[in-house]
Amino acid sequence: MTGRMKRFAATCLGLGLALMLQPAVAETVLRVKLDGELKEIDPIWTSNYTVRDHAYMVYDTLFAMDDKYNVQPQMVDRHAVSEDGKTYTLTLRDGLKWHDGTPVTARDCIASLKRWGKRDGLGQQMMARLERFEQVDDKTFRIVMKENWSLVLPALGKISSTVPFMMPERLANTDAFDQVKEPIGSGPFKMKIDEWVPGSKIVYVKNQEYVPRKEPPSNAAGGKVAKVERIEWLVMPDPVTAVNALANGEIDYLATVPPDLTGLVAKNKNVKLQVVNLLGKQVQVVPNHLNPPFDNVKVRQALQLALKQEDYMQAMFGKQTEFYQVCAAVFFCGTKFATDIGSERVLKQDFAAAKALLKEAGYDGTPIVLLHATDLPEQNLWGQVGAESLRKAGFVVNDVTSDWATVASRRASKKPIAEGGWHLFHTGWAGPDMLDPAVNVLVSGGCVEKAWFGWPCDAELERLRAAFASTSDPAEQKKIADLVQARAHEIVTFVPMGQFRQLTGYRANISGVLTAPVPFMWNIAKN
Amino acid sequence: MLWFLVRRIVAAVPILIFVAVFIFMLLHLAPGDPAAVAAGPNASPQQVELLRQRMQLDMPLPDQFMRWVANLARFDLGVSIFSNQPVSRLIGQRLEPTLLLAVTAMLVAVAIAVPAGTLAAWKADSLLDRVVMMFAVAGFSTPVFVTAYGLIYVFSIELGWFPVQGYTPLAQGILDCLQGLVLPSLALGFVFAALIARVVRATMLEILAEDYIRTARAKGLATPTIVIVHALKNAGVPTMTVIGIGFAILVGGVVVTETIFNIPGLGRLTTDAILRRDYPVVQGVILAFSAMLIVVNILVDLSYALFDPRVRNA
Amino acid sequence: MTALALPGRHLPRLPGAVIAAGVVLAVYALIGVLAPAFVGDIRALNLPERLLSPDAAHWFGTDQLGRDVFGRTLYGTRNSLIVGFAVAIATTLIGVTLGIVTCFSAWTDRIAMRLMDGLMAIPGVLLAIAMVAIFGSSLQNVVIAITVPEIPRMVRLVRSVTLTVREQPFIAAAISIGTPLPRILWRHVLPNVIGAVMVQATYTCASAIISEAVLSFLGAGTPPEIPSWGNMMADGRQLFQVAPWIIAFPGIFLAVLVLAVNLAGDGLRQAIDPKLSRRVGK
Repeated sequence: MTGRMKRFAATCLGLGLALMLQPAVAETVLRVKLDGELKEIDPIWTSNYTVRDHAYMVYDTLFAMDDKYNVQPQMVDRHAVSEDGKTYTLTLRDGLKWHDGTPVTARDCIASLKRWGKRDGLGQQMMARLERFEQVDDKTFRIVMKENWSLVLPALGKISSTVPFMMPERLANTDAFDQVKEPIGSGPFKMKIDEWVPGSKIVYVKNQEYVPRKEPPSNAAGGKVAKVERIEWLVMPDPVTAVNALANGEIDYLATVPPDLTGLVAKNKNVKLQVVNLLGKQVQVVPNHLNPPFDNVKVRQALQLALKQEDYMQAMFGKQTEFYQVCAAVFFCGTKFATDIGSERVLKQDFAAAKALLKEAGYDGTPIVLLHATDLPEQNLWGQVGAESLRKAGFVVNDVTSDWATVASRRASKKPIAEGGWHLFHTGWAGPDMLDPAVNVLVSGGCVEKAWFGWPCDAELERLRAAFASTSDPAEQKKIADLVQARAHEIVTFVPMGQFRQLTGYRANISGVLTAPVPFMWNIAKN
Repeated sequence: MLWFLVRRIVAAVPILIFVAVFIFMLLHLAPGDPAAVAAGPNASPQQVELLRQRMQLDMPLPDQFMRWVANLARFDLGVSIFSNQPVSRLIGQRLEPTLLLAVTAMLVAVAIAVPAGTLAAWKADSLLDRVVMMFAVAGFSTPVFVTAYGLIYVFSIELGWFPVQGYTPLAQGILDCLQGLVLPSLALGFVFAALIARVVRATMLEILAEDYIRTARAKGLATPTIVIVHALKNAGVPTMTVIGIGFAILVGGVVVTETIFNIPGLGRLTTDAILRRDYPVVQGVILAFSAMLIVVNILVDLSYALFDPRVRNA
Repeated sequence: MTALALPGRHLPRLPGAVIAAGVVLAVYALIGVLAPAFVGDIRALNLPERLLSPDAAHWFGTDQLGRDVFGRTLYGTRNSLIVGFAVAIATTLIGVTLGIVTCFSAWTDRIAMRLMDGLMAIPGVLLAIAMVAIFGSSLQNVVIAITVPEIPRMVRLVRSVTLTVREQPFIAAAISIGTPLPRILWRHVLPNVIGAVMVQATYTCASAIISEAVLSFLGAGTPPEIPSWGNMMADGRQLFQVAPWIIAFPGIFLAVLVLAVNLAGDGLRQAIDPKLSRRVGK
C-alpha cells in the first residue's frame, strides 16, 4: 500500500466510523404495514378499509365511537338536542386547524357532511330525512331533521367506512364522485404527499398543531396524541415478506399476522402479538336473488345447509381455534344485538336436507356461477372451500375464477347468467359495519333499487329496518334486531360463514397500541 | 453511424404506435372496470354505477382512445385513476429500482457466465465442460421464484446476511442500496448466466478453431493468453446479442423478483395496475417498457461496432 | 419466461444426458396420462389434516386445505404437459404458416413483420398477465396468453430459414417449370424448415411450462380447481417457512421437467444438424 492509499483508506474508515457513531436521528419513525395497499387518498370517494385506515391519521371526526360502542364528541365541544329530537346544535372545540393552517369552521363541517351524505349508505338515509343545515357562527352549526331520527349521532360517530371525516370546505366542495386532490384534514398526522410512492410507501408526520382531547383514548374517541414524529407505511404485497420484516425489525408494526405464520414470530422475544381488533371480521356468502335458481327461497335455504362455517374457519386458521367462532348472528357475536335466532340451517351442514330442498324446488342442475377472486389469498381459499361444499350438496358449480377487479365489476351486474350475471360471491365485512339493522347492508330487503349486491326484495325486512331507525328505546331496538335476523335467515339475504379475529404484531419497543377495530396510529410510542 | 441511429429511431415509431393501440384495445375489452374496484368492496351497486359515469368509462371507446392519443402526442401519459398521480411521475419513481436491478442482475450474469463459458470451451468435452453445461441448462430450467425463495431461506433467514425484502434508494447510501439488491440480482442473474454461458462457450469454440488462433498457437503463445486476448474479444458480439434478447426476459423476471423481494419497481407497478384496471398506468408503463426494449436493442447494435472491427469499418 | 432461441450451437455431445432426458420425459408423460386414474379426487378438502409434513400417508405432505401434495403434484404434471405441448403446437402452426407465407408475399411480409416487431416490444410476461387478467383464468386462456408472445420468435426463425431456402437453385428450378406456389411451399420449403422448427418448438415447450408456472404464481394463471405446479407454489409461498414441502415438490418437479425438455431440445438439435455437431469434436 502506498502512503496515499493508506491515508485514503484511513479516511474512509474514519468516515464510516463517524457515520456509525453518529447518534440516531432524534426523530422517531414508526414503520408500519397495514392491511392492503393505499391506492386512493379520499375516504369519501371509496369505501375501501385501507383508505379508511389512512384517513384516521389525516382527518378528524365530529363524533367518535368509544370502547363501549357509544358515540362521544371528538371535534365537537358541546352538543345539544332539541326537545322534539329534530334539531342538533353542535359547537366545535377551540384551536382546531386544518393542515394548511386555516382554522376549522362550521362551514367546512357542513360541506363535508353534505359530501359524505352523497356516498355513505347511512349518510344517504340521513340526508333523506334532513330538513337543513344551519350555520350559527364560525364554530357552531345546527342539523335540523324533518323527523325524530334516532341515528343522527350514530351516523356522525360511525367508526367504519364510510366515515364522515371532516375536510376544508374548498375540498369538501369537490363532487362526491371525484377524488379530492389534496389530503388536507385536521387529524393528528399530516400526509406528506410529495413523499408518497404509490404502491410502495406512504409517509405521515406528526401534526404539531393538533389539540387532542383531554380524555384518555378509547377506541376512536378520546385524546388522539401522536407520540411519534413520523410514520412510514410500507406496502408489502407478500405476507411472508412482511412477517420476516417484522421479525428482523425492518418494520415496527404489522396490522395482520397471517394465522399460519404466527409460529414464525411467536418465539421471537422482540415481537409482541396481540388481538388488537377485538370485534374482528366475518366471511359471507351472498346469493343473487334475481337469477334462478336463487330466486327460489328453497334453493337459498339449501345453500345455508350446504355450507359449513368450520370449513371456512379451518381453512384459514387450522387448529388455532381461539381465533374464530362459529356464529350465526347477523349483527356479530359479542355485541348487544347478538342472537342465534333463526340459525338452525345456518349452523348445520346437512347435504341430505339440502338435496331434498333442491329437489323440492325443482333445481334442474343449472350451473351455479360462483365468482371467485384468485389474486386475494383469503378470497381464493373461500372460493375453493365453498365450491367443494356446494358440489357435495348437489349443486352443479361453475367456479368462475378471475382477479378481484373482474369479480367486483361482475357482481354489479343485475343481468341473467347468459348476459354476464352471477349467482354467488364471497365477501368479508368487518364488525363495525354490521352492528345493527341500520348500518348492516346485508340485511337490506330494498330490491333492485336500494339493496346491496344480491338485491333481496322483502317488504317485511324494510319495514323492520325503518321501525328500528325510528325508535331510540334499547329494548325495542333489541326486539326489532331479533326480528330482522330471523327474517334475514328465513329469506337468506346472505349466509354468515364464521367470525374471526387476527393477530397484530409489533416490536417489543412499541407501546400504547390501542385495541380497536381500526388500526389507529395515535397513542403508539416507540422507545 | 449517425445515419444508422436515426434510421433505427425512426423505425421504432410505428412499433410504439402498434403497442399503444394494441394495449389500449386489450385493456378496454376487459370485463373488469376500475370503477368497481375504486368504489371499494363495500360500496353499493348504485354508487359503483354513478362512479363509472363520473369516470367517463361509459364514453365510447374511440372517443376515449382519441383523448388518450391527443395527450400522448403532447408527451402526457395521463394520471392514475386511483392515486391521481401523473403516470410519468409514477414511472419516474419506479425507474431507479428496476434499472438498477436489471443492471446488477446482468453484471452478476456476465461475471458468472463469461469465465464459465470460456473455461468450458477451453476444456471442451472434458468433465468440467459437461458439468458447467449441465449447470447452465439447469440454471435456466429453474424458475426464478424457486431460486429466489431458496436464496432468502439460506442467506436472509438462516444466515441473516441480507435483508429479507425492501429497497433502499441509491440516494440513501450506495452500500445499503447494493446490500438490498444482492439476493434479487443473484436470483435473476442465475437464469441469465446460464443463457449467456452457453453462447459464450459456443462462440469461443468456433473462434478457437479459426486460423489465426491456430497461428497464434503455432507461434507458441500460451493458451490462456490466446483465450483471453484474442478469443474473448471476438466473443463479444454474440454475447451482446444474448444480452439484448435477454433484456426482454429480464423484464419478465423483474416482475416476479420485485414481487418476492418487495422492490417498488416498474414490474410491480404494472401488475398492480393491471389487476385493478388502472388503464392510464398500464398503458403508460407498457409503452415505457417497449421504448426501453427498443433502446436496449439499438444500444446492442451500436455495441457490435465496438466489439467487431468489421462492423465498425463498414 | 426463458427464451431459448439462441445462437447456442455446438453443444457438447451429451448422449447420457439426452437418454436420461428421454427417460424422464417418458415417466412424466406416463404420470400425466395416468394421474387422473390413480390420484383420486384432487379437489376434495380434508381440513383437519392441513399442513401435515411428509409421512407415509402423505409422501409430500398436505397443503393449506389438507389436500395431498403428492397427488396434486402428479396431477400438475398433466397440466404442465398440456400447456407446454399446446403452446408449442399452436406457436409452431401459426409461426410456420406466417413465416413461410411472408417470404413469398411482399405485402404480408411488411405487415406481419411490423406486427411481430410490435409484439416483441411488449414484455411477454406483462402481456400474458394482462391477457389472463382480462379474459379470465381458464386453461385455454392461459395457453393463448402464453402463445401470443411466443409467436414472433418462431416467425422470425422460420422466415430466416425460409429466406435461405428460397435462394436455393432447386426452388428457382421449380418455379421455372411452373410448379404452383403452394406445392413449392409444401414439397420443397417445408421439409427444409422443419428441423429448425422442431428444435425451436421444444424450447418453446420448455419456456411455456415455466411461463404457466410464473402466471399461476402471480395469480393470473391456471384456475385453482386444476392443480398446477404454479398455483400450488403460489398457495404455498405464504407458508414456505412453515410448510416448505408445498412449494418444494412442485418446484422440483417443474425444474426437472423443464430441464428434461431443454436437454431433449439440445439432443434434437445435434441430431438434426450433425454438421455442426461434428465440427465441435475438433
